[in-house]
Amino acid sequence: MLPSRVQLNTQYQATRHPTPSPKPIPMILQADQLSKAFGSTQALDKLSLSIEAGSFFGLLGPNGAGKSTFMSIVSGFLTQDSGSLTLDNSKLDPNNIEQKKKIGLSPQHIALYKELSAETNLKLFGKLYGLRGKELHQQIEYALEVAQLTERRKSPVKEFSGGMKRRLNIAAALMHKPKILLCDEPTVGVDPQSRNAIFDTLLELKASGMTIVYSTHYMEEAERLCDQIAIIDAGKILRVGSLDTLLQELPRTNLIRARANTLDTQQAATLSTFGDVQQTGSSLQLQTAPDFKLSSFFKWTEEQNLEATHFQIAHPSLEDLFLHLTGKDLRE
Amino acid sequence: MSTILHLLQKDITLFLKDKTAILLTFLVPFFVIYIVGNIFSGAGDNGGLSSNIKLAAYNESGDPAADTFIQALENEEGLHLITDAPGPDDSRIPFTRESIRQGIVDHHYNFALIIPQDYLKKEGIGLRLEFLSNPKNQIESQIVNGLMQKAVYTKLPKLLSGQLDNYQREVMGDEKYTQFLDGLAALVTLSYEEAEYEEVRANMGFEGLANMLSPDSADSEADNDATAFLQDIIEVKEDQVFGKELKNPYLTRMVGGYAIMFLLFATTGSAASLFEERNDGLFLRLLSMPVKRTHILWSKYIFNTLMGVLQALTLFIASSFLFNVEVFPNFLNLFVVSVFASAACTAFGMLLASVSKTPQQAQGFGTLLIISMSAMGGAWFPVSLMPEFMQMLSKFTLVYWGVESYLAALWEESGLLALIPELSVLAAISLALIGISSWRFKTGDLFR
Repeated sequence: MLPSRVQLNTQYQATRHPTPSPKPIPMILQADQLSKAFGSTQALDKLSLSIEAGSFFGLLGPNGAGKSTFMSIVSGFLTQDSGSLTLDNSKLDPNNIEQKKKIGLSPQHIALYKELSAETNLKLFGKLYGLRGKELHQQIEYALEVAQLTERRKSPVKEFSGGMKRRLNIAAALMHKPKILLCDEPTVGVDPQSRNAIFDTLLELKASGMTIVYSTHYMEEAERLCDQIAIIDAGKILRVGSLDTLLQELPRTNLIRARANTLDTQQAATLSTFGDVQQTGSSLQLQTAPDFKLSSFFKWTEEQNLEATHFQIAHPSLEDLFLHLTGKDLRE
Repeated sequence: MSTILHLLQKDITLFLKDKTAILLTFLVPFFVIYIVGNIFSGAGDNGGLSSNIKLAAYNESGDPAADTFIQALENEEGLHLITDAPGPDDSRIPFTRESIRQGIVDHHYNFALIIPQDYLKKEGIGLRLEFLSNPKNQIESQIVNGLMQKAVYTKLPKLLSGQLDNYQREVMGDEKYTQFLDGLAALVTLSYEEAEYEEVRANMGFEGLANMLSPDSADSEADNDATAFLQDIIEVKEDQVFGKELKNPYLTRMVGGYAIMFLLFATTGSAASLFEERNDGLFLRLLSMPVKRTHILWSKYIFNTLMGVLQALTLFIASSFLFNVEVFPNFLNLFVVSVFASAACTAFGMLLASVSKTPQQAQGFGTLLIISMSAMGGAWFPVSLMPEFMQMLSKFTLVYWGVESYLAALWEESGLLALIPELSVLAAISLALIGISSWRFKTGDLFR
């Protein structure tokens, strides 16, 4: 189980998952009642959350949930209509250069000059952060290593594969050694190998003490990477917590899927004592009851001579939680 | 076929979703024809250019007969005649030779006519006139020349009649000439029953003939007949105040206007590049750094201005090598004008980007404004040929001031100090446009 490192949104902290800590853990980023509208569309609706320093914090939600808007406000690109942001206990000011130097942003787009080489891009971004001379050179080398592009440093970005561009997109945000890295959907359009490379990089950065804020609509990524996950939809935070904590929201049931012969009436009646049954042709789906025992279930299938060819036990996932919370699919 | 129809339907649907594009689709042609129509259909029942070209006239001779010629010029609809110079305390004072010429140098007018003291030749028969000009626009010059010729030829009999009578008196002797006219009058009176001798006698001689041929009209057939044989006795002394020595006057006149149009279209492209960077997420990344919007805007502004200067200078240098436009003697002035003109055009491009939501909108607004400004600003044809309202509007366009600046630098070969008024206006336009753009960039869509 991943350590709980995020102070929960106060409303949930007080009512659902009180996790008192003997030593208060420092918060690096806090949003309080953050709202932002684009015309009649409410992108953020009184969004509040707190992100602990050094954590890997996931923002999980479907497209249009408000993840990128949140990232854009934190990075200073957009201004909120109301509410406030606090970075390292200071109110976040988009014009405060010292605060900006604490934040690194890897946008959802490949925000690189495609005609320029990897090295030239990094040099430009480094200079904009005020790096010069040896320090600039060192950081370029570091970023090229992170992006695994040292050998291709002179190649124009337009010649890179999607995965290479994505890695460089992240590395460019690391030039100034930020305390907090905002990654907005960094694996969109990336092959599995590059995706794993990105995950490894981010986990290493987290291990070095950097705070990672990671937005995604892939629940597998959030489950794999994040200490804490905020489920966001329609500009609101629905739940915040560790994966285990969040899944406790769901009824303690499992889902058993099987392929078997058609049940007769008596068999169907007996099976229903194990939980809710749905049958479509040879496919069976059993939502187990709270007192369900797997051994009893298998014993019964043997007694009934059910010729099951396939069994699958599915655990509840963030996808199920999102469905449970919103009534819609995460990837809609 | 169905595939084409589906794709066509897609394009129509996309178009109908963009309300600004729909508006521009109808607004651009409407606005263009409104501007062009106002320019070309200002005068006369049959349409045509409504020329109102300033012409200064000075009758140095003081001869009342010469005044009739000036009067004829004043009656020309296409000319705006100026007969005196500004004096102290808003007063007007008569022209002198010096002040009428200075008026051209000071750009109060581009054409002036002097009827000199000795406008009637002392020996033989003929007329002397002096014509001063700054023919920086060929169409304007041709129109003035045409109207001048018309006035000269129609009034020539009257101007020369006394001179012809004197000539006859010298040749025949005063007494014989008087007898000749008396006899001729008596003969005519006998030939026509209704004729009165005294009336016929009064019209004898060249002066009388001139009165009969051209009493006061300027458009009778008799005028034309009279002018036909008198054409070769007019001597016009021309003084071209500016552009006299240029090797390629035609292109020298035109190249500035085309340079301005070129710069304007180039800046529309630069406006589109701002949208590209926004769409690529680069503004998002840059603004997450210690970079402000003003940093981005000023870097773009300076870059595009420099590119404009480079391109304009390339255009001029090419015109020098290929067509003998005299660029290098005025290169410093040309460079300075190009900097100011490019800065103004780039500011225009930034304004386009700041008021548009998409590159397509910027392109649409750009086309509309560039065509309108070029037509109104004198890049295509002279402002002086337009109705007064359009002439007033033209001074609010950067094309007008850009064209004037380039003409001052290339055609008039003015020094830097003389360019200050035009350059100041271009600088003011740049500042105003950049001010509006900065405000729009703060509140508009480019940084969303």
